Amino acid sequence: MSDLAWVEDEQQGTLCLVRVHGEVDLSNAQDVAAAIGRAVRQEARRLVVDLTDTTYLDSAGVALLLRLATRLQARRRQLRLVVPFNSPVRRVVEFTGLPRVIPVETRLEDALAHRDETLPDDPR
Amino acid sequence: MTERIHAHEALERAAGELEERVRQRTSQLSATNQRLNREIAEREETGRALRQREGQLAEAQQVAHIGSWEWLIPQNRVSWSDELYRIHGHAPQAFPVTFETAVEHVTAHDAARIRSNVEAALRRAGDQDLPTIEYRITRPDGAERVLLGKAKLRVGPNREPRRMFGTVQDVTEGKQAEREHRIAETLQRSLLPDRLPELPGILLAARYVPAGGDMRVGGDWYDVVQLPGGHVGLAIGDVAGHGLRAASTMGQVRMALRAYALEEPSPARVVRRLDQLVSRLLGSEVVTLVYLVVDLDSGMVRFANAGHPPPLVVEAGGRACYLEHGLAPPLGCDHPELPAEATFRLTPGSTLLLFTDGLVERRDAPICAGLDRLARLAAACDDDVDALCEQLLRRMVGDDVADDIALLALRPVPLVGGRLVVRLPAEPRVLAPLRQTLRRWLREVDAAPDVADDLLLACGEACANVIQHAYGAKEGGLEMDLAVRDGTAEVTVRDHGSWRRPSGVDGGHGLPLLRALMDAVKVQSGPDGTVVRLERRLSGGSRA
Repeated sequence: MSDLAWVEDEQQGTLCLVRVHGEVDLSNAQDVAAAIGRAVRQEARRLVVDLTDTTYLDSAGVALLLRLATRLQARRRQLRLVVPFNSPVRRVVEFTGLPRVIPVETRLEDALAHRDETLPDDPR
Repeated sequence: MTERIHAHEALERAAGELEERVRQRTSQLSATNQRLNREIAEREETGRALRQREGQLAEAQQVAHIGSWEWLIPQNRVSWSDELYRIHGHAPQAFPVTFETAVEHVTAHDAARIRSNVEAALRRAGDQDLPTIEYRITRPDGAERVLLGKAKLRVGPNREPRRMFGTVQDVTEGKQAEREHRIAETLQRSLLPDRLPELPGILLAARYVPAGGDMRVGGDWYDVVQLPGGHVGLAIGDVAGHGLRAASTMGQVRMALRAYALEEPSPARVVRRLDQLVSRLLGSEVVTLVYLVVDLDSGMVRFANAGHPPPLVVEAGGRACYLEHGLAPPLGCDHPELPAEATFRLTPGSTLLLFTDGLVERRDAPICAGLDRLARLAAACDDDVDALCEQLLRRMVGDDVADDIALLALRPVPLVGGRLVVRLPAEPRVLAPLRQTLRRWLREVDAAPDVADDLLLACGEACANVIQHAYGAKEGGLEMDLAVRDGTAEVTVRDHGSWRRPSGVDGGHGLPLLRALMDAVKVQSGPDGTVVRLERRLSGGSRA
C-alpha cells in the first residue's frame, strides 16, 4: 500500500468498519480500493467507511467509493460513509453528489447504530 | 782436426737450432694452449652467462606469469617455455607441442578466433604483429584461466612464412580483481538514487565522486525518501572500508533505512533500528550516518546523527553553521539508549548540506580545518544548489580525490511575492508533494482555511486531469503557475498534450467540481495543449 494512506479494519459480527487514514488521490485510489475490498469478509452484511482521518480526497477517491457502492449493492450489502462536518473532505463529498448515492453520517456512532432491517439476507 | 772441429760446430749449431725450434715450438704450443684455455674459459663464461640469463628469463616468466613460444612454420615445430607449460597446467616440457596441440587447450569459441587471426596473418604474408587477443583455456584439472596472447610473424626472402613467436600472459587474477571492482562499482552506482525526486518548492542536488587513481570503491551513499504526510527523508552515510563488501553493506543499510523510514516518523528511532541491524546482522562493520526528516510544509527538520560529520546549514543571508546536536555513536555499537534527536527550522532560501568526510578530510590538515573551510566557502557561494555542489567539490578537493565523496544539498525555494511556478512530470506520484508545496504557498499568501482547502482540491483536480487525460500512455509534463492579484489567487495549469474525452465514472467529476470550488474556471484547448485557469478570492467565506 502507498505511504500516503492506510486502511484499518474492524470486524463486529456482520458489521465491517473500515477507517481510511491519510490522503487519497489518483496515485493511490486503486490501492485503497483494494485494501477496502480485502477488509470486507464473506459474512459481512454492513460496511461502514470512516473518513474522519482522511485528510484529502479527490475525484479519483470519490470514484472508488462509488464503485464500491455499486459492487456492494449488487451483493445486497449496505454501505455508509462517515464524514464529520469540519472534515477537509466534506466539500468534495458534497460537490460530487456522493450523498445521493451513499448515505453519509457526520458521526461514527450514527453510522454504526443505523440498521437497515429491510435488507433481506443474502439469497445464497 | 779442422774437420772434427767443423763437424762439432755444425753439430752444436744444429743442436742450438733444434733447441731454438723446440723452444719456439714450445712457446707456440704454450701460447696456443693458453689461447685455448682462454677460449674454453670464455666459452664457459658465456655458457654460464647464457644459462644465467636463461634462468633469469625463466624466473622472470614465472614471476610475471608470462610464457613464450616459437613456431617454426615449415617444420610445424612449436616450442614452449617452461612457464608456458605451467600456465597450461603441465610440468615443463611435459610433451612435444604442435600448433594443433597448442590450440586444443583453448575454449572452442576462442580457438576459432585464434585460428582466424593466424590464417589472416599467413595470407597477408609479410612481417607483422598479430592482434593481441584475450582468450580462455581449460587446464587438465578443469580450472579455467584467462590468457593474454601477443604474437609476431616473420617471413623469408620470398615472403614465405618462416616463424611466428609470441608471449602468453596469465591475467586471470587481474581479471578477477577488475571484475570484482566492476561489480562493486556497479553495485554502488545502482544503490545511489539514479535521479533525485522532483519535489515542488524544493531544490535538490547531489554528487558522488569515487576516489581517484586506484581500484577502490568506497561505501559512501546518500538517499532521498518521500515519506507520508509530505515529509522527505534525507540520509547520507559512510561504510568503513572499500570494495565489494563495503558496497554490499551500504546497500543493506540503505534498503533498511528506506523500510524503517516509512514506518517510523522519528529519526532517532530509525537510527536506533539501523544500529541494531548493523550490530546483529552485519558484524564488525562501522557505519556512520546522519538521517533527517524535513517537513516541507513548515520547514521543521528533525534529525539524528550516528557518528557522521555534522550537516551544514547556510542561511539565505550567508551565515553558515553546523548542526552539531543529535549526536550518537556510529552504527554497529549496539548502543543501549535511544539516540538523541534534535530539531531546527529550515527557512526558505537556506541550504542544508550533507556530505561525507572525503569532502573535508585532507592528509595534511586536521578535519576541523576542513570543516571551517567548507563553511566559509559555502557561505560565500550564492549559486543554485547544483552549482554550489560543483563549486564546493572543485574548491575543497580539486582533481586529487583521495577518498570517496558524497554530497547532498537541499534548499526550500523562497516563494517571493506570492508567485510560484512548478514544472513536473505528469505522473500520479507528483500529486502528494505538489499539495505539500501548495499548502506552504497558501499559508504564505494568507489564504483563509476554507479557501485553502478549496484551492488545494481544485489545483489537485486540475493536475490529476492532466495526468489522466493529457498524454495517454506517453510521457509529458505539467506546469502550474500560482499568483495573487487584488486578493484573488490565480492558478494556471498547462499541459502540452491532447485531451481525450474523459470516460467512465472517474472522468465525470473533474470539471463540475472545479466550477463548484472556484470563482472562475476557464479551459482552453489548442493544438499545443490545454490551459486551465482558476480564480478564487483568498478572503474567507464559503462559496457554496
